[in-house]
Amino acid sequence: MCGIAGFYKPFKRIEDYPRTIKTMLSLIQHRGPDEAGYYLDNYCGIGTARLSIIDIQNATQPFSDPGKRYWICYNGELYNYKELKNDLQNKGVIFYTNSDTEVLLQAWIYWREGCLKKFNGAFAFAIYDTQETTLFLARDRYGKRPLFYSENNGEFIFASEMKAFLGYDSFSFEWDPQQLTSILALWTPLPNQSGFKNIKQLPMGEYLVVSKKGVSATRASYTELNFNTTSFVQTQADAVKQTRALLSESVKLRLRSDVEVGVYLSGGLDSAIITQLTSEILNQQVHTFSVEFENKEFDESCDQQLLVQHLRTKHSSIKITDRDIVENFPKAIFHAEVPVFRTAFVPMFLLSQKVRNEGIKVILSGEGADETFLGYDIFKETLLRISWNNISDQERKNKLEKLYPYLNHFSTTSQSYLMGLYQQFSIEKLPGLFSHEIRFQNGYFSTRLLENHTHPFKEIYRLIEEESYYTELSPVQKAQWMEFKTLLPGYLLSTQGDRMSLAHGVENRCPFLDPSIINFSSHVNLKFDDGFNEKYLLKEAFQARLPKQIIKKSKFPYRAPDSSAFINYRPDYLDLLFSDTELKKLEFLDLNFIKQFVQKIFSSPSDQISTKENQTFIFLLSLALLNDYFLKKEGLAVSMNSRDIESILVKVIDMRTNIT
Amino acid sequence: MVHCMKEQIQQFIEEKFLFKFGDGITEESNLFQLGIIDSFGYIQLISYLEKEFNVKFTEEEFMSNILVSLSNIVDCVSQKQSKH
Repeated sequence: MCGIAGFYKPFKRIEDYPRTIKTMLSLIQHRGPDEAGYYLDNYCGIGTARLSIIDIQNATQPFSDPGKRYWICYNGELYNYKELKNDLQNKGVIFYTNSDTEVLLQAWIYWREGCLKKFNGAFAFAIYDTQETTLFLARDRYGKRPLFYSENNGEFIFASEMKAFLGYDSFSFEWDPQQLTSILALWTPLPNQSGFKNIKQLPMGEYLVVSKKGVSATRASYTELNFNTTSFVQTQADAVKQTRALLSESVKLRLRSDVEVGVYLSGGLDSAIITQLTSEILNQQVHTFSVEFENKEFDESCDQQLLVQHLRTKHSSIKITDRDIVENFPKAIFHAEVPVFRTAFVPMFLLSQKVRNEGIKVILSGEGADETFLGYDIFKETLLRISWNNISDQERKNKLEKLYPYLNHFSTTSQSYLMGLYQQFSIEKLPGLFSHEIRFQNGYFSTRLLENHTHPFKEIYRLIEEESYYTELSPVQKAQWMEFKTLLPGYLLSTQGDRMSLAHGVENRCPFLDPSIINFSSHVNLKFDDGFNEKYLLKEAFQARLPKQIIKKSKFPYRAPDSSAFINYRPDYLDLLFSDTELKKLEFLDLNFIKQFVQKIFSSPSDQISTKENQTFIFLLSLALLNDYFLKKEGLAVSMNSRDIESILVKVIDMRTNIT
Repeated sequence: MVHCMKEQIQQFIEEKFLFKFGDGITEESNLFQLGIIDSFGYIQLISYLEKEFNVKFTEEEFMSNILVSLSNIVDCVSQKQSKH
């Protein structure tokens, strides 16, 4: 895993290029602490901070073809690189290393953007064609690896993390209130959003070409999430067998590494499956890692221990207290870079530190299982709401009982009240957004942090309009699509995933997010069950291999203490929320609302604070801290800027000419 | 009496959900559709009404949209009280 960064700008003072690329790389050095390198010519600078995983000796970056026409900076892994290499060798391509970097570059040279459909991996890369002076950037199909870019005044810059732009002299960060409205309402940035003006994300499954003519960037998509499937199974027994076989193959591909691979074990079904398969494939003891919580409301350590004993893993864990959340929130939010709605990413920041300290660089984790095999309550909720007006009150109650068992206010005593609530949401009111209407309406509360919070759904509407197949999807597929485009890439894979792992140089891999698994699940979901026993097929497929308690366990979302932790410990940085002077610096905020809101949060018992209020509080706190780091360039932004990249610099290709 | 009850309920809703009736939100506005009331707040509101005004809502009432706006809530509570 790595961090990449670069710029493309024919007219800047080329004397500044080395300093600029080195500063940009130093700001994302945590992603690749093993070595660094860069390529420069008069038009372009690209560089990599590398975490060495495959062919550690020979795949130093930037990497070029033998003719030195193409240079690649690459963040990620191509899991099917051996198969692609065979294919290319059969076509006459000669390879000089054992690395996936060389395979990726040669695949691109051979097939150009056509290679992307053949890739199974987690990647973001930049290839510079020195002859055409064009830059090609692409990102994997699910958004596992990040890629941000900015086009401004004829300059193009890109990086794995936006903080690299702090090292680019003429760039300054500025919030984009319109994007923030959408982020606050939907919980996460949309695939092209960053929260800042002039910074875009390259959306998952897209590529971009930058050419010299006016530094124009042209974006295009190479895949779509339409849930079309080429799978076919007739019986449940076959489906169960194939589920196991496909997942086993996916784990096997992701165990390709020249260093030891560990597994995150949450105590839930998905990571238990990954751990079981990893043990089976490697036929050796697996090193597992877990987060435990002092607060029992969030803790799953009993189930973790049950699995550790059952699967005989070598186990390491950290126990998280409220104080840990509060003390590490600022550092973790700096790595996350975007406003967040919950604190559950902070323990993952600390867990990756533990992983790294124990000598592990690569981790497998269960992300994607809930989106792929319908694990979330929102899928059950969608099924219930679609059928609401066609079923009896008793059936409604029976199904309501199966929703959100971990939320106190969804207990049976509140069931009659909830009947009234769901009645309100039984008919679509936000066209195309039926499945997420309740969530998004709740998210609307957070938008009140902003003075102007009109049209929070404008951008999501634009996005679904662009996807011509969207209207043809079933309600549950639309719900899946929404999860795949919002919470998964915008928080789980990024803030809680990639950014927290790579903060400590640990690469996370997600076997459930394999194209073959999504192709298969698109065929079997709801084919053998009614969706109310979540992830039914997964449970059937692994019931003989995992403890009964884990198979029968209801979905227990990974959560962490929210506003109460901050109120109990009152860290100094909370002053940001009480200071008019500080808050006024974020001129787009509604100070009147914020005053009332903060007052309510600090004066109410914690059990009287609703989920949406907790989320709004975390959003506000993260906005205030990010403002310090990215707009005022204070604190962590300064200390990371001064990191020493020189000591790990192993490759410098300097092709500049006419340096004065 | 009704006026006083209305003010009391209005105050509870405004304090609980941090807004003021008037700015585009009227007594007739559907508070669910505007994203003002969520599931947690709805349960708090019903519990408050039942306890404070000594009334009990039936499932039919929950299902017939009577508790979605301030005016509906006030009408419903006052009708129930008058039946006592």
